[in-house]
Amino acid sequence: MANGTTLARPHVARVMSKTFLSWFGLLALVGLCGAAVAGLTLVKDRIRVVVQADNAADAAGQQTALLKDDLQQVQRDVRALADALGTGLRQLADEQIANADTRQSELTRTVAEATRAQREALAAINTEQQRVARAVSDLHATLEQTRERGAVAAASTPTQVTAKAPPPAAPAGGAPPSTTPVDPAPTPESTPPPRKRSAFAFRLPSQGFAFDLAQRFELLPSLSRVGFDVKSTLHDFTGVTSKLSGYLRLNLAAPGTDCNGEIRVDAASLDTGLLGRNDAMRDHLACPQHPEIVFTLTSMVASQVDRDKQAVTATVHGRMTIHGQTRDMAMPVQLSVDDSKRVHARGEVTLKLSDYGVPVPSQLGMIKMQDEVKVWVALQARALGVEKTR
Amino acid sequence: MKSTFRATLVAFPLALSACIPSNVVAADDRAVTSTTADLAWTDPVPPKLTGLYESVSIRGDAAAAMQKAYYWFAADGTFTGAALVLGGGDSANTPQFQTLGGTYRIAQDQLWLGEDSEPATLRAAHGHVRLTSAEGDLVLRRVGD
Repeated sequence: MANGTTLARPHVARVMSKTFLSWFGLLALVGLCGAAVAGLTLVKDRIRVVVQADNAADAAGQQTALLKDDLQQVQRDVRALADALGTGLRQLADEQIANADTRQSELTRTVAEATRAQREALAAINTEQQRVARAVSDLHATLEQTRERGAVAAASTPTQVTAKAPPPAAPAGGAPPSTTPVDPAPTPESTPPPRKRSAFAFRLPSQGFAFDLAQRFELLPSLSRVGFDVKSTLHDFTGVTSKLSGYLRLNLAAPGTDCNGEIRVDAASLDTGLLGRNDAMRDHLACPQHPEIVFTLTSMVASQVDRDKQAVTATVHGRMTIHGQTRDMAMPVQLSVDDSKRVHARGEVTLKLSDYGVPVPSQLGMIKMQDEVKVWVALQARALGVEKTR
Repeated sequence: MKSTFRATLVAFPLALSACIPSNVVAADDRAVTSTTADLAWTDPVPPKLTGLYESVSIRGDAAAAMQKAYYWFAADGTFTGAALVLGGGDSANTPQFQTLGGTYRIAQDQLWLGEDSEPATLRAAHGHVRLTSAEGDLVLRRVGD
């Protein structure tokens, strides 16, 4: 019996503890669940708030980030745009500079062309003005000639001789002298004021000599000579004459362009200084059949033109006719203009008499002239008129 | 004897020809030169120009138109003149004479020919007078009374 009691006690304790523990566990579990529910109930709002707060922050951050990103993108775009704009502006500036140079050169060219055109127009106006002035001068001269003829006719009658008697002696250093003829002057309305006369009292035309104008130059026989130099066995001699005529037409500044001319020499007038020799020369030249020696200028090649000194060095080409025979001939010449506005032409060339069918003179077969003859010219010519503008 | 005769026959024309001197005109002397270049122009200018004068030299711009000039000066101070002028007539290539007359005046080596002309500087030398102006230089030789 003691053993039995002893054995029952631990078993009850174990059962009681087991039950207690089960109940306690159950109560704990219920308590925990209740606590959990209560806690959940209590914490539910907080969680919501926390969750809501976290979502807003993220959204704001995202928006901020988006905004930042957008802003950065905009900044990048602005920078790119600014860069592009700067590049474009620089290109535009470069193009403007390049265009400015081009436009400057175009403007310069345009101005130069306009200036040239203006000068040409002015030159044309000047030419026209000179032409009109010449026409007016010619008209004046004609008018004066008419007046003078009228004055001469009037002076032929006794009454008018008295009326047109010479004026009294000129006052010594007094008032300027007067000029006759003094026909009734036309009314001031009908004639322009008279031009001042030249110092030599004549009304000289304004047209003068010009180096660079195509002009016709008439030979001046009294101031010209042509001749030849020959050598013979014993002595040399020259034949010379001023009995010549002719003209040259050329522009001294451009002698190679459109020039021509002619020189005619009376062959029988060549004088060698001895009558007998002159007779022999005329026989050899057959002067009765071929009275003239003619040179026809066809072209001129200038090797030097000095406008300042008004001098030209050239070679004239043409056809020489001697003894009825015509041959081509080229002669180097020097042309110059003197203070009297006369053109001087000097030149010489060697030719053979046999080329022109002229028999070489010989005396007794011993005194013989050389076949080669040096022909020279020393001409002076006066410009007669301008043939065309420069 | 025959050989001597032949030699004489040959030598005679040679000797005769040798008597004829050479007369080649030098190249510098071929051209006709002015005769007024050596005038000194130092004579006193006469108070009056009387007589007939002709131009012997015309230089300068006037020479382009005036080819020849004649002047007759009277003691009473009148003058008449004629000039062969180119370009003043109907044809530019045909010179024509211009004639005129009037009074002249000399003062301080200046010559006025007519009232409407510019004066010209006057100089004299050995029967010549020289008129110089901006238009040219005209040398006149006295050729008669």
